[in-house]
Amino acid sequence: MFVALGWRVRLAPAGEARTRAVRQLVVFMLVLSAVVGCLQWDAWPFSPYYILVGRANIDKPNYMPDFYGVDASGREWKLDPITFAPVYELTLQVWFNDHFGKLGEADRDRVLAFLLARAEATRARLAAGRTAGDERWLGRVLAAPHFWIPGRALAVPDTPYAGLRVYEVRRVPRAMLTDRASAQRRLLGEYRAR
Amino acid sequence: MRARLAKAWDAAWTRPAAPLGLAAARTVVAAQALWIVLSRPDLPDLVTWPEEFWRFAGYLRLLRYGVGVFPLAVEQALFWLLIAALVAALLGVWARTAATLGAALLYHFAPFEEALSGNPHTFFDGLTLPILGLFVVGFAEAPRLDAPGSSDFRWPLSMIRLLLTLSYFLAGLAKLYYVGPAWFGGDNIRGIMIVHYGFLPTALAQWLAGQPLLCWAIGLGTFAFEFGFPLAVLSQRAAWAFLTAAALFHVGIALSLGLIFLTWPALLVLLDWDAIAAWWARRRAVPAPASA
Repeated sequence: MFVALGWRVRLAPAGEARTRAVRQLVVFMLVLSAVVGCLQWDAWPFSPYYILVGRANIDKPNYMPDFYGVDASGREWKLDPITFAPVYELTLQVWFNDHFGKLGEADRDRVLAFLLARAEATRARLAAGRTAGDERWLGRVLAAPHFWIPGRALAVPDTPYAGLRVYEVRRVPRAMLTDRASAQRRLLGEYRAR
Repeated sequence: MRARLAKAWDAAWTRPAAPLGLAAARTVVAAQALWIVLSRPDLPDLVTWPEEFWRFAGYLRLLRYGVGVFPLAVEQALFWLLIAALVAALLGVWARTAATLGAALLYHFAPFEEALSGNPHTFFDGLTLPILGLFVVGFAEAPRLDAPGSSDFRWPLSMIRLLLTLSYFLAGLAKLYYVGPAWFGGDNIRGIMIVHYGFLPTALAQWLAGQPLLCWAIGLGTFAFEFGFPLAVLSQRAAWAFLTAAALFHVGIALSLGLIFLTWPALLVLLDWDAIAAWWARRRAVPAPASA
């Protein structure tokens, strides 16, 4: 409808007809935005923009998965947030929270095997001093949703990953304010390279 | 007051504008989209991710955006076509066609990543405004920079400004919908700082969490900022004020919560492009000094 009304503007002759068409397009946009906003409907790209809308509860634990590569000696390496590009770490974390538990064991293995392969491909590039993932074209000036990403410290092993571990990390915000070690983690899934 | 608002509203859509504003808006939305697209070089590869990842994404939702419809080779070709369209729109080459094509392809590609999690709300990824903005550019005249002022150059710039300001207004409305006025209270702002500190420990978040009055100021300021932003469409003075406030808003969020809203370049559409065009015209009209 938006595109149709917009094309009416484009095709309308200059003058009163175009002014009328513009007015109708503006009214449509405002009405749709009002409906989307008041009812919280998803009519993307007319979005309700619900960003950071929740009530912050500093005593309620939150759970987010963290991803680690495991080298041959068993040492864990926290995976770089662009490891699984084009999927950002946050999107993958949301997916794990919402869906990983619904998968059967064989499907989980396939998921973890795929992620290990992606992690290893990224590790190899970073270890060789090359850019990886979303940084391949724009380097440190990439559009990243977190300001610390372009300037982050990169730490990858020189040897290939032998496995992948996904931990669910439990954090209580009030406790984390004074003691970052209060975060607790439990293993969600592990995959060893075959 | 109502008469003044009505007059300002009418002027926002019909007062003649210099062509520079529309050209600048086109450049800004195309550049923003191009920056984000070039930051996702592997986006087409998502169609090769295992079926397990897509199983919960919702078939109809994926079909709506054409995700998973085409094989990898076609997606890669479409991705390069998107880049070409955005570059053309940025440079003003076949501007309307390029902008429309770019917008249509962005509609396809923008939801790719978030669709995986079942959440195609890419406002966070900064492509929502460019899609709508590029469509608007496609509906409008393609101005020559030396063309005389016209209302045909005013309404598209105002429409893109309206879309930009609505993104902030609607974000405020969403907070009222889900939490109510308490969202803007000092306690909740403090809570947001502490919750995010748990993930990314910034000194600013930790310090702000201990400043109750400042948290209240931030909350009430956010309310005024988000709900007042549409005034920037009606008044250039308001546009300057909200542009400044938005810059501070985004810098503050980046430093405290570590988040960057990738829409920030679009704030440039709020500049006074008529004044910039007039200044440039005066500069070009100044005669060269006589040689000795």
